[in-house]
Amino acid sequence: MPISLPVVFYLCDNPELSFDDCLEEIVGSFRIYAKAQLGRYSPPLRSGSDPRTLIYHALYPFQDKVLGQYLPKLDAGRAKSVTCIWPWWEKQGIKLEYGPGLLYTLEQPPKGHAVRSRITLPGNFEYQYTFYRNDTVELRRIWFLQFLQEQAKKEMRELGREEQMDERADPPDNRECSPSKEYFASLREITDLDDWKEIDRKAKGDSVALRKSRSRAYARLRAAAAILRLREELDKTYLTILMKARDGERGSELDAYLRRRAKRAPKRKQE
Amino acid sequence: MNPPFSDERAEREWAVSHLPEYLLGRLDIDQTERLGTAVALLPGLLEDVEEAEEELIEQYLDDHLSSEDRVHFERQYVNGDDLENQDKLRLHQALRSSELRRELEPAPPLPVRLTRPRMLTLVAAAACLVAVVFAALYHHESRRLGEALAALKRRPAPVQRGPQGPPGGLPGGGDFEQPAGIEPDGGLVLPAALSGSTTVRVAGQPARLIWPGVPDYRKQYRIRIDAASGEEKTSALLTPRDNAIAFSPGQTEKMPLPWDVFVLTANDAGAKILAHYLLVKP
Repeated sequence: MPISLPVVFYLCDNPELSFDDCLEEIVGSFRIYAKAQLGRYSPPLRSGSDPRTLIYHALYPFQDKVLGQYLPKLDAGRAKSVTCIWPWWEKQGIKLEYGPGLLYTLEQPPKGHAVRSRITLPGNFEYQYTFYRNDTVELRRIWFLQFLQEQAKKEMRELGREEQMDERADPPDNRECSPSKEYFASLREITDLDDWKEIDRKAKGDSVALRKSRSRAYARLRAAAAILRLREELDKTYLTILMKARDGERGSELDAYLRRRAKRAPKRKQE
Repeated sequence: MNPPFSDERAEREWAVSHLPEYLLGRLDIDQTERLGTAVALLPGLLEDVEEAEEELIEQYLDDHLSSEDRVHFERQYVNGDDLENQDKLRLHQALRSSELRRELEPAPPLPVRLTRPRMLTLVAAAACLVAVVFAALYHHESRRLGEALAALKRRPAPVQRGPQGPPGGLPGGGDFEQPAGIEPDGGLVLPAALSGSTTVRVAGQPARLIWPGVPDYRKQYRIRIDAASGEEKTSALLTPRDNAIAFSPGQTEKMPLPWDVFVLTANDAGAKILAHYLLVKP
C-alpha cells in the first residue's frame, strides 16, 4: 500500500522508525493537545472527531503545505510570515510572492527562528514579515500544533458547534464496567498472541527498542478493539479479514488497518 | 509559533507531576493544552504518559483507587467519550481474563512424586530402551548404507555408461565426466557436490582428496574410498577448514583405480551419502 502521509517523516526524526511507528508516535504525542483543542472548540458531547481523527485531518493540510509548492506571500502593509520548509531553501534563497505574478528571491533569510524582519522590494516597497526557520523537528512540531488548532476551528466552523455529533457513530455501547467473555474471545480471535505477550511484559526498565515494540503491539490491540465497535465499513472489512487470518498473521493486517484509517480520514470527512 | 518553553526541565517536571490529574480528567483546558504541548515537543514524555496511564488502569482494576478517583476514572475510561480510553481499559481487562491467562501462562506439567527405587527402575528402563533403539537404528542404517554403496559399486565402467546414468544409481543421479583440479602436492580437488554420481578422470591414485563446499562448516564429515580391488579406506572425522575437508588415504599402491569415493555425514548410526565420485583413469 503506498504511503499516504509521507509528511510523518518530516515530524519524526528517528530514522530507525518505520512509517507505521512514526504515525503512531505522532498520534500518541499529539493526542493530548488534540484533545484540548476538541475540548476548546467542540461541545462536550462531541464524539464524531476523536483526537486521532483530528490529527489525521490536520496532517493532510500540513502535508499539502510542506510538499506542495509553497510560496510565501507578502501583503502590502501587513506583517506576514515567511516559513522556511526545507533547509536548502536557505542556501538557494526563498521565493516570495509580493503581488500577482511578482516574485522576489530572499537571498539571505534572517538568522534565528520567529524573528521579525523588514525587506525592501522592487519599487521601494517595504514589507515586514516574521521568519520561521523550521530546521529542527521541534520547530516543525510547533508548527504542526498550529495546524491542529486550525483544524479544530475549521471543523467547528464547518459543522457548527452544536452539530458536530457524528451521526455515523453509534452511541457508546460499552458502558458496562467489565466486558463479557464473548467480547474477550472476539478480541483474541482477531489478534496475535504475540502482541498480548508483548503488552503483558511490563515496560519498566526495558530498552528503547523493546518499549517501541511493546508500544506497537499496544497500538495494534487498540486497533482491534476499535474494529470490534464496527463504526465504519472499513471496520467490517477488516473484521472479516482478521477472522480469516491465522494467529501470527493478524498483526500485519492490523498495521494495514491503521494505515488505511489514516488514509481514509479526509475521504470520510467529505462524505 | 515561538518555542513555548523557557525552561524545558521545569516544564517536564510540571508535566510529569500533572499527569495523574490529566488522566483523571481534572485538568482544565488551558492546563491540558499546556501538557499536550509538552508531550508533543519534549522527547520521552510520551513514554511517561503511557506508563502512568497503564499504572492508573492497573490500580483501578486492583481496586486501589480512592472512591473519588474511581469516580473520575470511570468518567474518563468507562463512560467517557474518548473511545480509545475505553479500549485501553478493555485491553487490560482482557489481559486479566482467565481465557487469555491460560494462553499466556500455559500450566506447568504436574509434578510426579517418585520414590527412590521406582525412579531408579524408570531410569534403568529408559536407558535400556534408548540402547535398543540405537542398536536397531545402527543396524538398519548400516545395512542401508552398505546397500547404497554396493549398488554404486556395481555400476559398469564409466566409458560404457549411457547418458541416463547407471541402473541402481543414487536417486536423481547425473552422469558427469568432468576434470577435477589437481593440486601441486598431488591432491585432488573434487568438483562441487552434485546430486548423484560424478565421474572424475585422473592419471593415478591421488595422495589427497579435497572436497570443497561443505553444506555446514560446523559439522564433521567422513570420506570413504572403495577401490575396485575390494580395499576400503574410511577417514577419521574430518573438520572443515575454509569450507572444505581433506583426506589423505596413505598407502594406496594396493588400491588401483577405479575408486568409488563417498562423502558421508559423521553420524555413524545414520550416515548419509552427500556426494559420490567415480575416479577412473583417462
